[in-house]
Amino acid sequence: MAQLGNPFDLTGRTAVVTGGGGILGRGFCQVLAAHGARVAVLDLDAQAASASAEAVREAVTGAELLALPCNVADPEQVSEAVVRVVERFGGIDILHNNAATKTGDLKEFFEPLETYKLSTWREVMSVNIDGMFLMAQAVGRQMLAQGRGGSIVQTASIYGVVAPDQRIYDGSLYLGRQINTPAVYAASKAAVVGLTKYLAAYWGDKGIRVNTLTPGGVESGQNDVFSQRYSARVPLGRMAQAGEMESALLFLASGASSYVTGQNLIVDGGLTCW
Amino acid sequence: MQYSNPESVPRLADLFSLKGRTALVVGGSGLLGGEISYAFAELGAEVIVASRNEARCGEFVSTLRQQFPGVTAHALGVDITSPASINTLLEQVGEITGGGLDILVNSGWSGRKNTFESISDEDWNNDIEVCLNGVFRTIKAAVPLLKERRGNILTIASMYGHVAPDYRMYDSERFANPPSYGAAKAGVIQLTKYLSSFLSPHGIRANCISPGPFPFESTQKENPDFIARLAAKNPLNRIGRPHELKGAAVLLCTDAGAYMTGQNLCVDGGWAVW
Repeated sequence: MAQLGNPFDLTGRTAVVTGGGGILGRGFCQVLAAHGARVAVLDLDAQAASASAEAVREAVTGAELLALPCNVADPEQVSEAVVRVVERFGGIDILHNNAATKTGDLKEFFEPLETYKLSTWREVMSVNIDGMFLMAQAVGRQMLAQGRGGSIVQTASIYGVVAPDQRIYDGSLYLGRQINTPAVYAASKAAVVGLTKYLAAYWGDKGIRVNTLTPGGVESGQNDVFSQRYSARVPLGRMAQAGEMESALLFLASGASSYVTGQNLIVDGGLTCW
Repeated sequence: MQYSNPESVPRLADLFSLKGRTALVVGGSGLLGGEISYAFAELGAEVIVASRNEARCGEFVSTLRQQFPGVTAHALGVDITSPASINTLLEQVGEITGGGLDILVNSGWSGRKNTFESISDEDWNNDIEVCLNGVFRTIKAAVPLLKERRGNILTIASMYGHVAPDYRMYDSERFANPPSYGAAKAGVIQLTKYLSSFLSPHGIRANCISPGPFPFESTQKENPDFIARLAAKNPLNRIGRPHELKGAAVLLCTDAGAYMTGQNLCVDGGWAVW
């Protein structure tokens, strides 16, 4: 049981974070660890997972971390990862389904809709939604076996809720490359919202809560043109800082949200409210 | 398509017909209500147009009769802030129809120009009185007549009943969107959902249309910059043309929409999708 008076406390809990080596992932791992959770950092990129775990270890004294390479689109790797987490930490209480892919080929990923390749579409779907299903399935089984419920948080996107205004991409660069939001990204993220609601209803009587965390655009490597155009569409007038998603995750992962399930917590500076 | 008995399948022309039906359109001589009155007359309904401006209502009805010879139309005065006036209206409607009503449309609106800072208690109450309480009151008085014909209800809300205005488009003086407006319209949307559930045992459907930007012609002529701002906010990149509400109103109010209830149909050029 969480310490009385601090419903955000995660002491004694184990969390699994997929995409734990990514832009947002490292912060997610850190906030969970800082509040007492043991954290399994899963990432397709073994080095990124290790670097993330190492950084959190340095930042949070006494944190227990396990870095695991895992392709969430591969059922065997998913099962294997869950076994290893349970071997090491004894169980799983929190799953943060956070992995998403731009694939290994950014040119294909940002290809215009009219010429978008089905193979790219499927590759993105295999991680963004198949991966969430596989992880939720494997971890859900473990949570059911433990019989003490759990919390699953799934990262979606504002573009799973509303459409992108294509005008903001004119002259917009990400890490020096012309960008857009591909349809497959929007479709996969909308699917996340649906999966969340389904699972929340499905496992509700087992005490497993499932919620969506929807970040707005996070400052990471966009050029000023993009940043300004995007920010103009946001009531708060700016992009998000990565850290601004972490408190929302902590809320959803912890007992602070013990009566919240099936919801989509949108952290977007107000983008979707007008 | 497979039908067990193709001959029993209703034809579209019959589903969309309003011959033999009577519609009461409150606010039915206005910018949007007028289009709905026209649409119903075009499909053969007897139309009762009611508004607080009985003279304008009378002129409107005589034009409507000229446009659709053979259609029966009536002009009645009503003050939807007055329960007595509404009761009188429904008595008159009952006399016209010999009891019963097939369609009730609430398109009445009046509001005062305000911002959140400028709005007084009195102005707030006035707007809520007309835009929300007037709708409630009219529906409550009309339900006995609607029950006799298993009729249906159409309320007119607004995009600002489900998203907030981007206040940068308004200058607070010539253009203002008072907080009371959205609050009342959100109330209308929810009241509609409530009624769809509550009145379903009587076979009465209740639906809502949320129009996007449909500024008055005078506003369009005097303020092209404002119109350009509204247009640019919209995926279809233009403001609405009042006749573009006709299709939605007809779908919801005829037998073509017999399995739709509790819905909020957005006719807004995509306003809220991004």
